Amino acid sequence: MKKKETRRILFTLFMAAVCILIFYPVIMMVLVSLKDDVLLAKEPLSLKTSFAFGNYRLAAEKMKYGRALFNSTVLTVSSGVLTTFFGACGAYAILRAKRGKKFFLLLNALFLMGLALPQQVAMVPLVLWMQKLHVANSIFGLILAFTGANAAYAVFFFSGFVNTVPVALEEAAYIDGAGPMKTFLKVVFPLLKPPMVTLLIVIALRVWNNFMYPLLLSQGEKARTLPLTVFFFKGDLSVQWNILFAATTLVILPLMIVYFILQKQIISGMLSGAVKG
Amino acid sequence: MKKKLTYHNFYFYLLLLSPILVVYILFFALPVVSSMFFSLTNFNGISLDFKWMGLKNYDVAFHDRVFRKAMVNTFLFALGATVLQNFFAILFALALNTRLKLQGFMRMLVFAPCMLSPIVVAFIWQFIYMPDGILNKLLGTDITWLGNTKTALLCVVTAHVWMWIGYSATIYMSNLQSISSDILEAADIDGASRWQKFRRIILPMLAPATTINITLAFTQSLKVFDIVYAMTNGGPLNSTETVGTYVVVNMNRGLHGYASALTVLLTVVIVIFGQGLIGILKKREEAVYG
Repeated sequence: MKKKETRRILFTLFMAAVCILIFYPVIMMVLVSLKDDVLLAKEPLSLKTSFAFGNYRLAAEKMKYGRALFNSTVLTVSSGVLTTFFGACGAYAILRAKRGKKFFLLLNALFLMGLALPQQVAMVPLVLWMQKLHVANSIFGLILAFTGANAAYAVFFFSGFVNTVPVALEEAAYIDGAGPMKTFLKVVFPLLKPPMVTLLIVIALRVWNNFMYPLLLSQGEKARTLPLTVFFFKGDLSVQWNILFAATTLVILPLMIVYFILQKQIISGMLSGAVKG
Repeated sequence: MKKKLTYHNFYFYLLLLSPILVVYILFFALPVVSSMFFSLTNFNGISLDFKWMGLKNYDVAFHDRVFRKAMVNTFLFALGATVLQNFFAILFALALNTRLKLQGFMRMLVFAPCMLSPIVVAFIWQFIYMPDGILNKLLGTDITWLGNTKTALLCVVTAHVWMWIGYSATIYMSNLQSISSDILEAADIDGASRWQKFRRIILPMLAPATTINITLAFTQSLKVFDIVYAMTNGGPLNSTETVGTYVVVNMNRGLHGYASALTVLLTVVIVIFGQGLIGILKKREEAVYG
């Protein structure tokens, strides 16, 4: 019995070591980001740091961190909220419409077709298209592009949930004299809140970390997002790893903070996103 | 009264659907359709003064050595990533599922990499692969990992797999929790070994998670772009060129018609393989769960 207990402790320690090893590249990045130039040259791989927080100030200034953080946040939140809210509206409309049902089903088929297609296939003409619509090189344009790219997924995702809302509930609201808008907002909408949170997480992560759309659709400096900024930052820099890693740490910091707080919701959100997709 | 209500409803529902529909059509559906159209022209991305080329772009693609190389690399990438990612993910899921202390903490650490931006992941691994970097120190070797045509692709795959192991493992873990302990206890009584239990009970019962994980890993890595672009940009000598990066190469050359044709080809491959894999794996699932 005792032998089994020690084996169990040893196994726990072993697994903890493995997990820390897996995570170590991130720890290493933070360690390097805190080394000054002298220490970096002397022992780049050691666990020692010189707490050179100046690296962070330098990186933040050079990469225009504030602007990029603002851009990324506005882009992620707006596109996430728009896709989620209007996706729910769309799915509800498709499933509940009675008149012109065939028309709505046709539109639904249009959404379903887009579900299997990769973003890349819209990519090439989108560059010129956005210029013609005068939304190129702006966060606003990117918001629309991401909303369009995730629309099919959002409608498909909510279709499953709208089906679980009992129609009897809506009919009861009708009888009580509520109009269609009021029924939707006061009866259906609250029931769709939990899947909305899930989808918001899934879309937000996709948009936050996406690199291809911003790279090709917003080439001006003003509308650069965090991943784009750090990418060009490396290009401008004759690789000083401590400064670069200060920059990358700053890039991942906002999401990591959110992840540590909302861990459970994020993990389960991403999982149900996978199952549905 | 009722009729009137449904009449109004048509416009109400249309109104409700229209915002997402308009954005979807303008910013996805139309670009997709025009991509197919442009793939038949010599469109240069700037002027609309293009010429009809028929299937010329596709013909060029099939004879383009770099594109063929990119296609092969993309498949190698997808295959390598899918196999490694699922192998390690199952291993992790089994190990972490054994009611350890600190289980939640461990899971959090392993899951975290998939939240990082692929650009950041690329930079971290560039540092690891440096000639005087941590990998060479550990192995006592002197290899320029990313500068060598033989090792570069595997190195990028490794970084990609590192990023997604935790994600796949978590999907396997939630599946593992649904396997009832009765079956495993019954197998114990029958004297089944650990390996037999894994091979005959656990692995088949993981079929639903396997379907998701394999399909997702394969189709996601067929689309791969950012991590390759930031880590090697297709080099050295196109040894890590994937279809995703080669499309951008051609866009930068002003060959937007050709780039469109490549994205169409990539989409066809993704749809065929995605649907094919789901079909095969779903059958396997049904064989287990009925």
